[in-house]
Amino acid sequence: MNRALFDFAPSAWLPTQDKAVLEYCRNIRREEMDITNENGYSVRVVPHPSSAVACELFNWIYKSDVEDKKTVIVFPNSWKFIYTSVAKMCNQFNVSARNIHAFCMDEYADEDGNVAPISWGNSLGGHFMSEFYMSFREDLRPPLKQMHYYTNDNIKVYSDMLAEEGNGGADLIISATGWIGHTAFIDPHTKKFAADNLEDFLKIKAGFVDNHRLTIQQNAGGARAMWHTPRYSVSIGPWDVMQARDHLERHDLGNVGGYNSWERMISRLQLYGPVCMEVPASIYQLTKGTIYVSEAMAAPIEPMDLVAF
Amino acid sequence: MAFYNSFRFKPAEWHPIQDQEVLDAVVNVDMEAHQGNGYENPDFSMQVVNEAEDYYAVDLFQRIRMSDVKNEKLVVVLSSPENAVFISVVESLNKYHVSARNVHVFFLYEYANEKGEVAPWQSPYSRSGHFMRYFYQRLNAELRMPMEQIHFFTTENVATYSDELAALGGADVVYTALSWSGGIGAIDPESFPAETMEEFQTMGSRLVTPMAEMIAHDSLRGMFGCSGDIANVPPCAATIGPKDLMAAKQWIDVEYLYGCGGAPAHQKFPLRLALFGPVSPKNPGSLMRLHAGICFVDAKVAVEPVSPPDFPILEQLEEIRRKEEG
Repeated sequence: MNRALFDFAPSAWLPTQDKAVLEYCRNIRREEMDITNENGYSVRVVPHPSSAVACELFNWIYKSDVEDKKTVIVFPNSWKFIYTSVAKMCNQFNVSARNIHAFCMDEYADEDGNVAPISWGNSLGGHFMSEFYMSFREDLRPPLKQMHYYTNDNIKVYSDMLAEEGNGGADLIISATGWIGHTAFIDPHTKKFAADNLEDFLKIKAGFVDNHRLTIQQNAGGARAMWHTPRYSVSIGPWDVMQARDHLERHDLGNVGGYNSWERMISRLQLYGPVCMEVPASIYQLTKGTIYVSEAMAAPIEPMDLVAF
Repeated sequence: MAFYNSFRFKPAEWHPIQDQEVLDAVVNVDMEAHQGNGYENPDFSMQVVNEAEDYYAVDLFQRIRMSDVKNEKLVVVLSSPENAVFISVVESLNKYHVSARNVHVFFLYEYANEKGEVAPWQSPYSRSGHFMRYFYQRLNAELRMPMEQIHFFTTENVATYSDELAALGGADVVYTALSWSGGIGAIDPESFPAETMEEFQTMGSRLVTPMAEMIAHDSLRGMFGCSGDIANVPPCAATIGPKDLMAAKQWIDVEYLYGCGGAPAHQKFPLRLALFGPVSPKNPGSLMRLHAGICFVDAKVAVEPVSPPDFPILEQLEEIRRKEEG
């Protein structure tokens, strides 16, 4: 959009203020989007990231079965359709998930630091256990003790549990990004993830998070009220992301047929902007992994005057 | 307790209304049952309708027609951009040769920058510019209102915009909609802090820094490519005030913002708070209940916000655990 007649700084509360960075990412073209960086992090623009991730996740489970190999995976939530499709296809092809050790990525919490129980209807861990674990045929399910979700008792040791189980870290972290640029609930401008520099930031482990205001708005979505959305959470930390040996992400959280999405701009900032604490998910650029971005997400950001929202 | 079940928590501290009982109570109100009158002002009513845009378009069209037929001045405050509505209204104005010569247009709010400079209507960042492109410029030249009857916010007139409106006798009609933050456009509790409703109703036009939630909401608008690009939304706004709304002869509120495929709607909860919560400066939308007018609520917005029921997962896992332990 032409700023010749009217220019402005971003809202003061936004973590990314650099107008040159914003303008570069806003205008990046489709043909520039498929990249693989020196760390082995690949961005792949595809029509349907969900099915691409489902294939990959299925493959991880399959390999853990045929190679009889312990595999530790951090799972975001709720990804109902991917989880149920993968579990059901494992059932169909008799693929055993016995070697999968799962860690939920994050969970809601209250103002006193209490973690939401997995029985709560909006619990992220509850969704995971219901939609992934319970979708497996009984003989193909991982043992229950291999399923890890947050509780009041394990918040402080969650990263250590993950490192111990995964021999230093997870084999795979699956993720998406948030409106404020988070991965998991690693939000910028929070007490939990405040650091003097990126090096220190990358050392922060799991814990209780005072989420960014925009995350509350995103979590509310259109279905429930911001007033009825938890203000706090528990989450893995940047340390866990960096310790993981592989990473798998999707950017396709669209609304209204795919084009109306809070994720379109922040996806570009994460993938093509600088690695920084202000966009926490940008640290994936430092890791090995694959991110599937939808073609709808990659469409040019330009005015759509005849669409209200 | 549709929103809590087995887990309770306080709302985020920046929400002006914190009373849990109030917040819980408005969720469960049956919107359909509260149609019609029965609010603080007996001449205020709420209607649940399909395609609320239709009501906005017909209301505006008919008022312009009557101003033409009766040759009477019509002062409107518009909630631009409402481009789809503008285009439909102009189609009929052109087809039926209805003149808008008597119409004076004011705007609910306009973007401004951090220095207090207001976006000129020629800028793509101007909300009023959408009115110019999709209403004024599509209207047959002989049917247009004179340009001097279109009252843009400017850097110079922000503080006197209410006076300009009052000089014309106030608005004959204002069209409003609620933001995700619960504000009436940019009239939100942080920008219009008042101790009492009396004080609130004396507050006129001004430059404001809208709540973060409103800026984020606006980043989903078509004018910003429906992209969530918050940094591309100007950080401030010039807005009319509650005083101007209360001085209007009629107030038409339309609630039909249902992005996200139609099912979720960002206005669901703010609207319930406005209609059934406390009448308070902390709840700006409640002001409409004190005024003669109609609130048209699209059926998609009227749907009750719900949370999923608790999972039976603990019992299921306990059974699995017992089996595994033999």
